[in-house]
Amino acid sequence: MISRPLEPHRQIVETRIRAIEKGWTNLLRTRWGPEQYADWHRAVHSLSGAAGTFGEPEVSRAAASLEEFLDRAGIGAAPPDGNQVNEIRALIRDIAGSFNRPPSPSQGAPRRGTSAKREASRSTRPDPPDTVPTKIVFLVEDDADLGETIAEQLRHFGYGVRRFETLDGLEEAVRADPPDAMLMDIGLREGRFAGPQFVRTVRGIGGEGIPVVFMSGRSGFEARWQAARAGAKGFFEKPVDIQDLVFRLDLVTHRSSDRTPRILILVDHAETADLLVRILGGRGMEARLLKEPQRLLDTLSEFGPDLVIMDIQLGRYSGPELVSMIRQDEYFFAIPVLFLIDPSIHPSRLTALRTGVEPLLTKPVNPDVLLSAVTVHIGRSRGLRALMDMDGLTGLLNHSRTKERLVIEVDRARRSTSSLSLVMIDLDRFKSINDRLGHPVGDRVLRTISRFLRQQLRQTDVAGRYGGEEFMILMPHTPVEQAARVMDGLREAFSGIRLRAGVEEFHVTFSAGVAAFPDFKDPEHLVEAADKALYKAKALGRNRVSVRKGKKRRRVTGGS
Amino acid sequence: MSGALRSILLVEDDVDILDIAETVLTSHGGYTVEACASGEVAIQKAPVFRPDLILLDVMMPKKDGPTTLKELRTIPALAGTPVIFLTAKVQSKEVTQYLQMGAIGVIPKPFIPMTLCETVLAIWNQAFHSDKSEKSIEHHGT
Repeated sequence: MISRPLEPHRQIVETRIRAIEKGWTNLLRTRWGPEQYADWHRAVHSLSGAAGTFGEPEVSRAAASLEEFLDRAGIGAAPPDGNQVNEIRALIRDIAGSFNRPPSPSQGAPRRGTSAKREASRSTRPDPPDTVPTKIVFLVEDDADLGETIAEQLRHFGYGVRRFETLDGLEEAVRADPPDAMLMDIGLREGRFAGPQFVRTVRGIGGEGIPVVFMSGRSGFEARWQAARAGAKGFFEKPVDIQDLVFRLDLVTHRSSDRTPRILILVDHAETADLLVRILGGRGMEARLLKEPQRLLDTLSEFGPDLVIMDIQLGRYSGPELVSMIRQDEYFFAIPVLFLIDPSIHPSRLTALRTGVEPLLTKPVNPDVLLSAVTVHIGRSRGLRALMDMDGLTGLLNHSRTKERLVIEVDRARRSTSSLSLVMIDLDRFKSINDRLGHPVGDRVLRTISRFLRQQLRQTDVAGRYGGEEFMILMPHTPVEQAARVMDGLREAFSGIRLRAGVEEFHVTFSAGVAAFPDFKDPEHLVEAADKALYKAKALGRNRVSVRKGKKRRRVTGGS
Repeated sequence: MSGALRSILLVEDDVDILDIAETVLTSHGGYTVEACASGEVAIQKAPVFRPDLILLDVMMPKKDGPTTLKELRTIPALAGTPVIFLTAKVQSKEVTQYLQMGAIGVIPKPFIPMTLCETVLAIWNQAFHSDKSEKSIEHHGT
């Protein structure tokens, strides 16, 4: 009797969701192909009819919503327009967001998927504003146990892993659904250097884009040379250090902890606007159209774009004036703005514009030029913010910014009468790790937990490095019990990560204290409460989560 | 045709769904199942298999459910075999169409694996133990 869906079926659903995400991006990127669209539409229909059978009824519903929209909009022979693209993108996000994906096998795992359409009540965590699609890694390792171990560890860091123990079927799999990266043993059952040899063959038939990282039980010149010949992006000797592996995979798959770039488009001409949405959407960016300049400030606050593309003149509003209006607000002073100008612009006006800071793009818009400009400017603005905001080692917010965010978030919670949970995390026995294994190892542990936290927390959550081995997490719209459950799940999952220092394997745990607004009415009391809860967790034996509820109510979970 | 339900011809193009349905129907329901991933395969296998019931997906590429059914009906042994449609589209006008094609019931997709057998049996029993003229039976598998 099948009492619950079989575990592998979750992967089937996840794989199909990802194929739909990628398929859509591909459709936008190339010339519109009605047959391609029909195939993609069929995939959406299939997902709707199947996901519920695999234990994901929310995904079925979300897919059905998308299908309904596609049918009503009558897309097929003609490509969708800008608004339709945005709507489809939002519906695809709903599908991904509705997928119930617990972070790891542990009790108290948070339920991440609720359809955005079923807008959560104040007392539960709403869906993240955007879900980053899972990166897929093909792992080719003939030692099944080792393969499963590595796969499990990679999944902790958000990678979807497909395992192969031989080269059988690997080529077809790469062709059918190319992964974001391959992690491969040099020596396989097929031969001592079967891995690199396979990669060289695959590269010749269109597999160029896939970064490959090799592992090897043998070191020495031959193995490394074979790897290099195959264009390897990394080489790790076994036993493999999962932290190094994850950082390398992040690098080669261009994974940033940043969310999908958001672009706000303020352009009069409908066709130009549609074109921009298509170009940007094809690169996986989220583009929103705004028609009325009067709503600019509200939209900036609510949508939080990384960049604005604007006509140089919008009716009676001049672009540069709108920009100085934006820049009056301290929060938006660093948002990059690109101006679109007509080629027929008067030279003197052009000169005047060129003395400003904002880049100019002439119409008609060249997609490559646009993408390049957008990427560069978002990169710069993020770089600037990073310098100001980020802790250098971990990439989380630094101490001052964390404190500032706390004040902002308490304020927001007060205005929206919602719960804000604060979690203080402290690594257990961290000093002894530093003493015993050295500071470089300690640093890597800090980077690992930071990476782990960013991976497992929602986009709306805030993670900051508060002290040497102390972290603060802010969870808006989350009541204290739920925050505690989430943290307990993370606590358990993190304790399962195998860390390595040379040949020595070790684990690290953390203790956490949780408190929430409005149980505690202001930042100072909130921090104090969470701190006391953390102290309690340590006192009770570490590796646990303690909750402080104000007045006399207290609770402790976890521990071992 | 009434009596015991023993064998089922299962036609579904989504192989993952085909797999799970076949597993549930054989291991939980104890039925003998011939699983076909397309209408074509079903037409090949049906004459030899002679099922008591046909469980048929509606939306399939190349040859859809209704077309497959029409062709199956030209095989003498299957001219009167009861059929249940599996479909994601369960608006009443579509259901009426399926019933007009001679379906004894419709099971909406996605279906829950663990209740599939009960649902199939319920439709079967109702078709053959109640007034024959009452053909419209819609069961919800989810």
